[in-house]
Amino acid sequence: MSPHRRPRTARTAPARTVLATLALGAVAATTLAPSATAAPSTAGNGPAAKAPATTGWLRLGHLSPGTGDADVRVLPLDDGSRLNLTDVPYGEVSDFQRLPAGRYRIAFREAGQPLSAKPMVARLVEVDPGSAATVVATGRGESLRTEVIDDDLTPPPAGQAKVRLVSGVGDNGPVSAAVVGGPVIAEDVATGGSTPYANVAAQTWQVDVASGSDMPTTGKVAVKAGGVYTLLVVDGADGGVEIKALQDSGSAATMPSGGVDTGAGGLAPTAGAPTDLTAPAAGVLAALAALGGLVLLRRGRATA
Amino acid sequence: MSSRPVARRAAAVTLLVVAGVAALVAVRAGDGPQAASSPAAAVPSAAADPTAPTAPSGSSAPSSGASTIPVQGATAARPVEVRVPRLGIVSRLDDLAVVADGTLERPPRWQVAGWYAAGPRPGETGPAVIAGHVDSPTGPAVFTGLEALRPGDVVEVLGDDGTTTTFTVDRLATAPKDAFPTRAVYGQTPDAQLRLITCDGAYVADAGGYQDNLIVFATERA
Repeated sequence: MSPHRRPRTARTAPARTVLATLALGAVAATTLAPSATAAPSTAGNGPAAKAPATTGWLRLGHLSPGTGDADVRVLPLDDGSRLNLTDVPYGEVSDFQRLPAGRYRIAFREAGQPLSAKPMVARLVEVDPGSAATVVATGRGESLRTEVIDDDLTPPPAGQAKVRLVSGVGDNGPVSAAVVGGPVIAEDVATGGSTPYANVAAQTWQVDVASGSDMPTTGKVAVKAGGVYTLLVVDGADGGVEIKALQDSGSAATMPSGGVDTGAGGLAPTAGAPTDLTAPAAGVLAALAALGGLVLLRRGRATA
Repeated sequence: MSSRPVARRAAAVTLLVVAGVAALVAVRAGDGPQAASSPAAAVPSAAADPTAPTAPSGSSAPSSGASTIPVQGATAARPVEVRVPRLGIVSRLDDLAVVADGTLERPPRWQVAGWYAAGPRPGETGPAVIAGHVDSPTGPAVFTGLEALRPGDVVEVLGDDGTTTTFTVDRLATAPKDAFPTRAVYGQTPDAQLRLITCDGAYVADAGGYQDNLIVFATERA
């Protein structure tokens, strides 16, 4: 894989399409964590009956070890929404942001640099309808580059979750990982690399991550049925590696079948009419009768 | 002369009995859905609390000492109330489950919406689902008027930790119950979304009542 050092190498690798599984709505992106602002350049509010717009999802990460905080700029080349992330530290990946499908230019700059400044690294990505992708800056120095990592929007097998690993590790060397009592997740993954997803049972797993000659790093991660997860491995503050966890997508563990019974016809034009008056009429009758009865009782007492 | 108070008292008792019966009728007519039909038994949820620490099965390695890694995007408070400010809707939330025939349980109370508790919580990654009745047998219910929502409208969900998660309406869709868009409603999303479901379409009393569902699709406002 060739490093994309020059800002305009962008046309090399558009994001591949992830199987489109969802038909989702039309509201353009708003803001992006952390500390991001967005200025939707298209009106997302169509009439209710309008067919869903073609949108996809993007999230952005800083996985370039030894590189300071970054500002990330996402600029549409077609009709789309622009995004700004500021002061993104190493090891951080944003939440997903929904964007109109189309081509975007993504530029990583040193934090605080003006938009006119030359980016550290930049590229073009294509956001396909119904797809999700993670764009990260990775590598360091001469090998600083971007990677586009496709995210899975297909459900795990019933009752299970899916887990993969993405490495942003610098000095520590290739990363291997396994869930204790479960599958090997990663073997010798280099910086900026990612693994396919592995199916695991929905439970809390112990994860062991080895990198270079360091002692394995261990952590516990709870995964839910219907969830898809990324284990992100980065250089830690103490010289070892640190494990982070992101949820890539989620769904109901069990999908109910068919529609939902949410009405009894009381307001339906035809069927509702006869029963409509039952409760109010009975209520009024009750009130009147009670009042009458009490009045008669009091009078009876008064005259007795 | 002495017979007049007795007659009056008898009339008073009669009227009070009428009042009681009428009040009972009024209460019964406004009762929850279970009064009208037999509720299907709830299927026990497979994952009771997925966040509870569980020892990996077949594990021989010691798990002590390993710290818990928080999962970004995976935590939100348990929802206790849904609000649609523009429509004046405010409702506590009952828990809903999948029932024996595989469908989502009908919300047990006319005036209270229900949250599908085996799905994502509102604010977690994935689609959280809240259903409510469009009407009772006798009049309005919790989600009456939901069809007036428009893209951009706000839906708020209050969590049991006091936090409010705000969603923005993306679109509304109407679908026949026998052609319900299950994947679009309950399926995988990479962000935190919300669905509000109620009834719509023609009411056919001898064919299961309302023929359609109205679905509001919304996404968490960042």
